[in-house]
Amino acid sequence: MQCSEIQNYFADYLKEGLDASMLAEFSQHLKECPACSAELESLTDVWVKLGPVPPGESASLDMSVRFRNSVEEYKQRFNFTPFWKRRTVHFTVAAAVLMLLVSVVMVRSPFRDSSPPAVVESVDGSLSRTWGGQTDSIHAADSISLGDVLRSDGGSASLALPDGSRIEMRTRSELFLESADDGIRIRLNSGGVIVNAAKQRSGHLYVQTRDFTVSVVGTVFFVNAEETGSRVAVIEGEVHVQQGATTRKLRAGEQVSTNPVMESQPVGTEISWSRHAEAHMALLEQSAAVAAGMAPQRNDPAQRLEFELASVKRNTDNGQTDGSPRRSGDLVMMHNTQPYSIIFYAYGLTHSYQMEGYVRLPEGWNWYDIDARTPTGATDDQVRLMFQSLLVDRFQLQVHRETKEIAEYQLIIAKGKPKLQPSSESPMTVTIDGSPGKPIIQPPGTCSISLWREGSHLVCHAATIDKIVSSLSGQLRAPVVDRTGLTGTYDLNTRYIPDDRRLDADAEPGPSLAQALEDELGLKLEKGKGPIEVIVIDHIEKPSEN
Amino acid sequence: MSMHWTDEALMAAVRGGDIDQLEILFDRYREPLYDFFSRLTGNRVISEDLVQEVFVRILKYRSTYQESSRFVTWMYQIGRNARADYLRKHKIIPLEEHPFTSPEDDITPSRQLEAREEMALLQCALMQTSDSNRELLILARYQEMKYEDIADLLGLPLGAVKTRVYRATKELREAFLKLRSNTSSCSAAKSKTTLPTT
Repeated sequence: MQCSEIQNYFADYLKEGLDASMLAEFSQHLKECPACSAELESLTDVWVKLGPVPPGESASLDMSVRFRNSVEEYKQRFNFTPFWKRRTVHFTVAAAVLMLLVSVVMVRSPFRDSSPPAVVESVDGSLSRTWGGQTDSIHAADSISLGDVLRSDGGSASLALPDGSRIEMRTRSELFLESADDGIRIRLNSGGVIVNAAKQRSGHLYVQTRDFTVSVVGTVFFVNAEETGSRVAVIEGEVHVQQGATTRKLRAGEQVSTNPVMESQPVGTEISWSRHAEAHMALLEQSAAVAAGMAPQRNDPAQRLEFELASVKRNTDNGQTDGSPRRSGDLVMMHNTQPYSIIFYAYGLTHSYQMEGYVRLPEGWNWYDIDARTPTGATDDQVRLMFQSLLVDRFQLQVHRETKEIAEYQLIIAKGKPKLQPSSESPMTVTIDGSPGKPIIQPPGTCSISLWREGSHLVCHAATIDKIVSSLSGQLRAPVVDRTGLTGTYDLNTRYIPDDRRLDADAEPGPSLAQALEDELGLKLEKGKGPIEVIVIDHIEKPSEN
Repeated sequence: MSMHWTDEALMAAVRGGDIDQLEILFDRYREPLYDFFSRLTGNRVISEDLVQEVFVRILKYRSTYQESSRFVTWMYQIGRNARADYLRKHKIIPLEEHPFTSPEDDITPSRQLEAREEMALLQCALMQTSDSNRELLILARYQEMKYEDIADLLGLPLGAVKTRVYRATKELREAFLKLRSNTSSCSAAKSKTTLPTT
């Protein structure tokens, strides 16, 4: 082999490997030629070091919203209707294509119009259904329609919603389901329910008693409705409780009732009837531990939660990338994912500034398929803790938490009154001045930031102040603390020029985000410093595969 | 357990009219594509716009997708075209020569650079390599594309791609070494390659 030929084999040597005979020839040449050997070593060094180099700023969270808006806009502009929904069917379509479409329909979103709003999952005693003046007895696997009044007796019953949410009814409970503007509402006439709400793609799941309404986007909570009042206790995540004109946020471990006497009963006792009581109680304890910043670590075996089985394999198919796990019954999958994403999920992080010290593993060791099985009924927060254990066991992850003083913003009411527009019932469509014919359709309960030639637009529809603050935090890439005390839901469309564009010579004129918030919404961003807890990665290494 | 559809089957469904399936492809590729554009342009806003543009074009030109070709290669081809259009529109000529300049920054020399500093210099060195070499390195190193797919995408013979990987790595090393020995400035070079926003 000549020195000049080295360049022909370098690429394979680095990435895809040389075959045995070529490798032998290559190695022999390197032994005999110190110059080539040094050259190769130096180039390989750069190649290896290039691996962990981060790409720069991470993408903002509104890319998905922009994408969905683009698709919706396309559908509207071209009056798009999939051909299998049109009246005229082209019978000449090849059978292979039809087969494909049938298969594709099978994996479409579970939120299809034709799905029943709920299905009975299990009945321990009896479950009756009253509709149209008639009452009948229903059983596991029966479908339920909106407006059917269900009553459990002699034991608990469980209902499954198409999005994966589960409603457990205590014995002697009565409820019916109705559609809400942006989701499903459970009207609890009497008794108690434990709701395990799947993450809502858009909108909310509501539970309404005669005293209050609880709204959630994905969490586990318990609601009791008695003659004397109503009570809600959060087992995981957070909920919003609206009582009259007041909205209050409750986090895991917190509860509220309209009659203080009800709170004398421990939550554990209130949910002991559930088939999944043990899992709920464990979760309640874990949630309290997580909230207190004491998530179980390796040195705390008593609180440690583990998967029953877990497989960690290096990804080879480069298929769908999972940023968070997918769940199906007791199975948990996270495919083509990086340790960074697993840590992000396991520690419940929401922003990149909450993690420090992460470095990529050597080339070829950064993408994995995780398949695991949980104990029955494990909740999302429990699964997070199981992932923490898996990271410790397989990746030898060592982390510690630190409280750091970092730049943050506080959102306060500017002088005078806030100028926020209370939300309207009607759907919100926004047209951007500089881009005619490109309406943004904003789902209720959400905010998005989209970038246009004329500047950025912060658009929110029926959004709580928490949603607005979260969007601002994403845009500013720093924590934003809500100090407004606002409790309603609002519609807004605010145009501003982002800071990274203001410096451009050809930037459109316009206010900064802070200016726009103050002028248009009567809100002020105050800069300051505040403590934030971050996860610091002390150690991570190539995992043991199985 | 949900079934796992190949990219090609999903794209065939999109082409056939089920455009909701595009969301799955978007979820699969928004991050790698963003990473690709972000490393090429060094600008978040432009990169996000380009990711958006790629998927709008996929939707618009879905009927031209041939099921026999790999979706990833087709998608990156659209991505390259979208970026080329962007550069043309903004009259930006990609740098094909080393944009090394005389030292301007007062970078403290250190024999033992911290890993983080080293990474920052490499990031900067990557931005200083010529446009075509930078693109090749990003595809090979970060997008984890096979040389064969890169050859398809760039319309080059496989051997030429491999030789260019060697040359691109050499160019990167030279840029990195110059930065490390403080004979080149990162900020001055970056100002030349940073693209203006719309």
